[in-house]
Amino acid sequence: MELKIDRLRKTYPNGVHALRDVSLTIVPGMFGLLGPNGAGKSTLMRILATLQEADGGAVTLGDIDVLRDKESVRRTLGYLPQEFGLYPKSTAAELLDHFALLKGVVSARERRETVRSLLEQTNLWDARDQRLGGFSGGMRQRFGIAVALIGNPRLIIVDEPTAGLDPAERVRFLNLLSALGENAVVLLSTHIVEDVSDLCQRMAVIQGGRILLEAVPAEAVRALHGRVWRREVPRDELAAFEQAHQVISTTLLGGETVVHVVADAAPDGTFQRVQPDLKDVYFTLMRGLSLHREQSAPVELHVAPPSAEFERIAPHTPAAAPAPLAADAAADPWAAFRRRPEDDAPRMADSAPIVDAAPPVASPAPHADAAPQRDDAAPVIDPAPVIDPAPVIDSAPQIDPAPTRESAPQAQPGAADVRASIHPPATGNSPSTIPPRMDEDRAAVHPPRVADDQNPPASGMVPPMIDEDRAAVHPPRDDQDPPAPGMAAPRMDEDRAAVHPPRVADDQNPLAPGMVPLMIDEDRAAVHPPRDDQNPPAPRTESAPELPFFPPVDRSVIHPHSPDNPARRGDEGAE
Amino acid sequence: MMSVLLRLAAFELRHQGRRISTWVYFAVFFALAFVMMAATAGAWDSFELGAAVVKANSPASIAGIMAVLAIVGVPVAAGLAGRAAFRDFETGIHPLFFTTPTSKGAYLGGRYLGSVAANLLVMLSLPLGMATATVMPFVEAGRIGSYGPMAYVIPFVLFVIPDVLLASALFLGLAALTRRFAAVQAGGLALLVAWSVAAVFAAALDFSWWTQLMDPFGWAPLRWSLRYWSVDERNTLALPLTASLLRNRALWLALTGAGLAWAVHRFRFAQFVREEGGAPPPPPTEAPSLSAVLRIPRPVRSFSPGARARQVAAAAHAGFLRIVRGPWFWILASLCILFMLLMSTELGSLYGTQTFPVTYQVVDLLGTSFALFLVIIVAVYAGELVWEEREVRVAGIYDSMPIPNWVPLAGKAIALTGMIAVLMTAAMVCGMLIQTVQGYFRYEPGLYLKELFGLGLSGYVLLIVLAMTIHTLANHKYVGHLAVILFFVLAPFAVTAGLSHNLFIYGGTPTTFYSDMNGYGHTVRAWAWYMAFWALAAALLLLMAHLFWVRGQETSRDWRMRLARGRATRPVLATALAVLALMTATGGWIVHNTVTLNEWTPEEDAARIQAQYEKDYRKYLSLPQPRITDVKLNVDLYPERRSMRIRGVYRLVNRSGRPVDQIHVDLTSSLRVERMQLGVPARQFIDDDEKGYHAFRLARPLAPGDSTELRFQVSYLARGFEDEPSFFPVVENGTFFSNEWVPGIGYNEQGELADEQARDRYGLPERPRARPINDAAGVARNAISRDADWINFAATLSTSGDQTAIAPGRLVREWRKGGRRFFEYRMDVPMLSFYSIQSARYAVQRDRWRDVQIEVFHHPGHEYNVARMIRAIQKSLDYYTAQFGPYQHKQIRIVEFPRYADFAQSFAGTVPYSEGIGFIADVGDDDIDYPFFVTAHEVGHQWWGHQAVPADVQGAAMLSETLAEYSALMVMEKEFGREKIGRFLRFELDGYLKGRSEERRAEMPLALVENQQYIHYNKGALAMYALRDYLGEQRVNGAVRAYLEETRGKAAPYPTSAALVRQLRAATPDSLAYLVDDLFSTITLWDLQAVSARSTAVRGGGFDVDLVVTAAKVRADGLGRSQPVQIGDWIDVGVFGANEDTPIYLRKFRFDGQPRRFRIRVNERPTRAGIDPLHKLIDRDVADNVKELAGSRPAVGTMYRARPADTAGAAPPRVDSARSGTVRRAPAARRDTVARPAARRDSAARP
Repeated sequence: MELKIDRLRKTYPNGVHALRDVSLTIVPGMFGLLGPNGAGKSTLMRILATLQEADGGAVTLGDIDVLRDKESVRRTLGYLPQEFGLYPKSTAAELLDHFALLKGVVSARERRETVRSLLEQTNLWDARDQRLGGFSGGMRQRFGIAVALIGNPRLIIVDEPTAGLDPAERVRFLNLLSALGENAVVLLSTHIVEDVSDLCQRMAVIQGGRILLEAVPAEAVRALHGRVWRREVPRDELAAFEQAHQVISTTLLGGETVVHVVADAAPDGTFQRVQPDLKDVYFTLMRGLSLHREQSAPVELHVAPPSAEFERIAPHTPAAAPAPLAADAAADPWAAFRRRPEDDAPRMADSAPIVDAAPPVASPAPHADAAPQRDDAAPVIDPAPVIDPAPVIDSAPQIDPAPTRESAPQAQPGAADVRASIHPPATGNSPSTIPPRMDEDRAAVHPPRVADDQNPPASGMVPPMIDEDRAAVHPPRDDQDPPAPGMAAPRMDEDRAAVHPPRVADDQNPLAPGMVPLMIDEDRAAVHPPRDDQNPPAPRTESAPELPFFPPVDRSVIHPHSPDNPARRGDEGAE
Repeated sequence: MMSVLLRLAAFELRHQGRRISTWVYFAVFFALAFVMMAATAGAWDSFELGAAVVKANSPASIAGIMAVLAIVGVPVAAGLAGRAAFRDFETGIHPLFFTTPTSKGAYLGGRYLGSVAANLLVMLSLPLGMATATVMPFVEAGRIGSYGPMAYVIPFVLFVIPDVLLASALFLGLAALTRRFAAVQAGGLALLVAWSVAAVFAAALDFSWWTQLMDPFGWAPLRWSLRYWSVDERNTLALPLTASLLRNRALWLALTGAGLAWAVHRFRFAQFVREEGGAPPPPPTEAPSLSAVLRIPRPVRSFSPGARARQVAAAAHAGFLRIVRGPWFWILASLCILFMLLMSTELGSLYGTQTFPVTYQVVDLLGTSFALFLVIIVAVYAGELVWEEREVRVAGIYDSMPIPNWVPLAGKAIALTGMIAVLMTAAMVCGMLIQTVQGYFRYEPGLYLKELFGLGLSGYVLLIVLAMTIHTLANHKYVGHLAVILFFVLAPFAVTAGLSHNLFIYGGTPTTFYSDMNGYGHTVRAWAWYMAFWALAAALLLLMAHLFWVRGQETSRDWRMRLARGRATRPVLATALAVLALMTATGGWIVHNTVTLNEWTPEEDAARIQAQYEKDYRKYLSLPQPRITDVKLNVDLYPERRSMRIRGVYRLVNRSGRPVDQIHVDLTSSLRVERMQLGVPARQFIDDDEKGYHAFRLARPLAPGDSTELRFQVSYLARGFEDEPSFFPVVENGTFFSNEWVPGIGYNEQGELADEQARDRYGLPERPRARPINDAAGVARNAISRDADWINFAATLSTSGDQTAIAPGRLVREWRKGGRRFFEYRMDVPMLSFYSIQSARYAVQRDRWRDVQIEVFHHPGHEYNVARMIRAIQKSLDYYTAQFGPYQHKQIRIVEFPRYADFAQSFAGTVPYSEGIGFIADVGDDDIDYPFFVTAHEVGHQWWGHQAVPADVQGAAMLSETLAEYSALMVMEKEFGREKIGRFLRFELDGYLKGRSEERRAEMPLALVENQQYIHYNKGALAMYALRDYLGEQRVNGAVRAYLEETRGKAAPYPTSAALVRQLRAATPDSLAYLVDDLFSTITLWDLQAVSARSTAVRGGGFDVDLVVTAAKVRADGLGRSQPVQIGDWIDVGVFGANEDTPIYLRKFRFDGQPRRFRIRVNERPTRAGIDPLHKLIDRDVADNVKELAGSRPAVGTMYRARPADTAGAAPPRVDSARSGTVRRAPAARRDTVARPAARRDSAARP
């Protein structure tokens, strides 16, 4: 069952073209739809969720005509709207039961089981008798997912689910989402780049109602490899600088303006090459720039491909997939973009560059994969503590000497140096840096792979994982992770971690094993708590526990350019 | 602070001024004011509020309209002030305001002032609209006076501004403190309740200071101060700024200020911990760890019809729970119940005496007062439910569920129905509680269920479906509310606009009318057919709502149409067609029954036919006609079929003194003429069945003194059902009809079109209410029957085997044949041509008075007051025979009939008596025993009307009704003492003064009364009893007896009131001669006042009362223009002790216009003292007659005064018609198509 969107058009009465000939083909798995506010994401989502009418085009889900046969779509649809409320007086169990009945679960016993199962899995079972009016944002989103999952939908549409969640909730919620997409088409729209880079096997970037890019996130990043440059620019020179260069982002870091430009070669010696991430991809697209070098053919990327081509190169449905995929992969220039989660495992094991990896060859049947995944839930416990120390410890010595930006602004060049020193291997290794990252997302799910990863990524893996700007700011913090007692702190809300470190550590033990991969996966989780722990030792005194707390707070406030900032702050008004 | 406040106010005003709704309000109220004023000024014939003699734009009229519209405008305050406070919370912007350096006083105050200013701006539409209406060319110039701008300014300042201030403060405070709009709604309803309750009490006879204060809108004291204003005063005087009105306004302004201050004090610039309220939020749980692999359950799912049914049920259940879980539902419900309980204290009250709370009356209470609340609740909650998902913002999830539109639609409709059912159940419990509290234990749960859940609920379901459909189609909450409310406001107008068939208005059904005697009778069957029809219509509406149900984001008109087209699938269309087909079939059946089988004539046509009757046949009015001398009837009643056949023979004698060559027969009723034949050769030359007029030309003229016969056979065969059920002539149990239903001789003036406006429309001249007192033609016939003098009467009745049929006369024979019962009645003495036929399943209680047999035929179960009635008959016969002369019959019967009409009527020896008055009265020890009184009154008619028969001229009603009233008063005085009479007369005085203020043409002196009930009943009782007080019982009775002896059994020329006045004058000493003039021949009002009163204890026991009193009197013309006249009257001065009814000192003094000072020595401790303390004379302000004595304890016994007792409102007309003794009831609209003297539920029949 795949979702085909063909030249979908939607114009609002006020003349806004929400969608202009949008064509996409989405196979089962997690698909991220990334775009700024007002890009048309929600319109597209609502049309797919049968809540809005398209002016033209066609959408099919398997053999269902989505635009006409709404009833059939609804029977197999799980929809989590961007913004929604719940009857404040109802309890979670009551309302979920009601929705289950509306979704056709008539038998009371089955409904009870469904409700129980879903509430348990969304960790709302203990709150089942509480009124929904008292639910926090994260609980509400989880409840929404529980509703969406009733009846085992084949099409799951999740519209900006992390907007408005506080960082910790966001992490947990993405966690939950990451478990979807087994055999359903999961469409996730967001304006937060990390959501996509963390979760999605495939993505599209939409702006102004057009699809700018449809790609595998890692491939998109790879296209920019070696072409993103960073430099600090005094604020008064910024305008002139933007004239002169293809600036893709301007970020404030500790009060200094850091710009990223995209260029095939370093514009001059003051620039440092940076390891691109999905944000760079996104901003490049937002600036209307091409992802690939002018001279090279756009092999890896496809910008708004005409649907006809898509139909021709039919992606694979999970059941039938493995064989054709394997056969086509080498020849098919799109193959990389259709990679399925299962494909990663063997490749990771090889630790080989994706392109070389010829995934189909090594790929086992997805069904075969499924079983081991579940079985291996337990082993995760062991690898977890092992994984993290490995990469972090390796890189730590290199970074350690560099003072943090906050503590010693004058040391900034040093920080840059450090990065430079980190990067060469990374750049050199560029093809291989990305897969590990992908891999780690799923570390918990693929224990064998995790085990393999431990060594290879050690040298090169960690830095690329880290958000570029944050990496520049807190290189040491990542390195400090191991010293932090266990992996405890990262899991916690940063405030709590800061205020009650000991208790935090206690709280978190039972869950620690499961959470470990998350730390790596989720930069931020990894970022803050360790940073708190670790900042004091370096520039400041160990005395005041609240002191180290300030810098991150400040920073998050002065990151106006980062589109995900509001969301990270958990601000309701993000959208 | 001040400037901030003003700036905020200006901001608010600008904001409101930009909103389209503000101007819509303005337009609506402009239109309302315009229409009300124009209608009062006679702009439209069919919709008239005022009377021709009253100026439409007098200060009193303007104040009335403005005060009422200011109350109607309360929702505007909710919209403006409520939203002004609520808006910030709704939009969530309040934290921004709260963090500005504005003080909360300035914040709320600014909002308040701004919204009040906007509201006043809206309300300026009232004077503008009214003023505009007065200058329109289509209003009658004669109804517009010139009064100057203050006529508008004063009521605006007195009512509109304080009302706006109050309502705005209430709504703003509620919204600001609760941050919920539902609180505003509840507050509005509470205000409505307060006002309704105040209105109920305002109608009470004794209206104490606190009830005047209670009305938050000042309407009650206004009405109170205007209640006795004559037409002339209304037309000329400025608005009276009475103390009670100003006190009321000051109180509510003060409460407004205090409430506002309190609201500001309580208001916090803070976010609520939880805006949702309730328990604190649970600690957030965390999402599961990544390790927990999601196992999505795969339940079996079903989308079968059975599953849909479960889903509808679940949606209904959930919706219902959400309604009843909200506190506001319970607040609204308890307000309803509270209102009902308050109303129940006045249940069926007549003369302050209540009826037993029989179930149908309790249910009626629900049907009227409760219904208004239910309608409001349905309108509000229909909107809430339709919008619920969108307002909770769960619509995105809900709309993507795999359910068809009709699942939530039906679920919500059922939820709403369930809510109404809960309220009905509450009402039922409440009703039984009322019954229990009042000591009545004959609960009829079955009747409750039928009325509330059968008839009531089904009507509300129709309403619910309509409201939900409107809300769905409108897709704008406030527009939806407005549309639903407009439907209710406009539906009644549709009837006057000619849409009079019940099928024309959604939800229209024939009236179902319960009577203890007849149950629902034949009304339910017709109702069921209509209900089936409307249920199908509702199904269509639901289908429409299904098509247009808003789902998803596309709400533009275009998309909704396209989506609707898309949803119009084959099954939907097939269902619609099927429903439509069924509807056509049902509708066809209804039309067949109501139009083909029964006559259904729009009112317009009925009026036209009636007008045509007059135009065609009035020329025969003075044609010499023979008189009926003998009537023999064979009446076969078939109650179970509501049918009858009458065969009759009239003997006609030519007493005209001229040869008669034509005989005209008039049939007022819709009975079908099967045969009509004269005893002499004649040719019929007019056979007008439509107008019921038949005329024969005799082959040989009937010579003077000659006689002939009229033989006729007429029938009434009920077929099918009618659009509005008729309750006459025959019903299943409780048939009652009079000789209006059988043919009469000659043109019948009573059949003419009576409505003045309609007469004007059809070019008919103004119709005098009565002939002048010396009109020769009028004196030549009696007021009771135009075509006969004294007749011999015999009737044989047959009815079904379980019923008893009754006609006037001695029961000669009774037998059974063929399962039917036969009764033969024969009248032993000549009687008036005025008789009744009744039949029902009666229980009978018999007694005797000397050789007169007393029978009370009553419905089994209605025994409560039968003994009282029998005692009343005995006492009456005692008194009347002793005082006036012998009783002419050997029997007297009271025969109960269903409450399709509410009166008692006196035929020869037979008194049909409605079950609605008296049979279920709950007479307490201290109450006025009106069953006794009414019975005595009707027995009195056996003399006044049946022995002395008045001529058909002005003053006739004084000879029948006033004398019957006086006789009954005297019997009551003998039985209960004079105190009770005093209390009773207070009601009569109130009735008279109110009646004259509502006069539409001209008030007449008592002796010239033109069938004006407030004169011949109310003033008549006052005048006769005052005379009795001045002259003494024996002198008055002597004069009355002399009048009777002079006129007893007399035929033409019949006596007029002049004969009685002459006798009364003869019995009056010259010193009191003025009194006869004042009471009977002129309109005279006294103004008696105690100026000061104090008492001092005297050494050695006893008290001295020092009293200063004044007395004046005025004489008024027909419109109440009054002039002072010289007074030289003897008037009571009295002092009360502990007993509030009986004075301890009472003596008459002569007053000459100067204040007089008295010192009165009494033995008992005096409490009150004054002039005319027993209110014998007609005084518009009786409260100032007596003063509490300074220095003494206040009277213990004023309690009954504080108790509101009902004479206003519905009661007086009912009382009046209740005793319409021998006077023909106001003729039913002739050929009201089925010209049954019909009792449509909305008109006369319902209490």
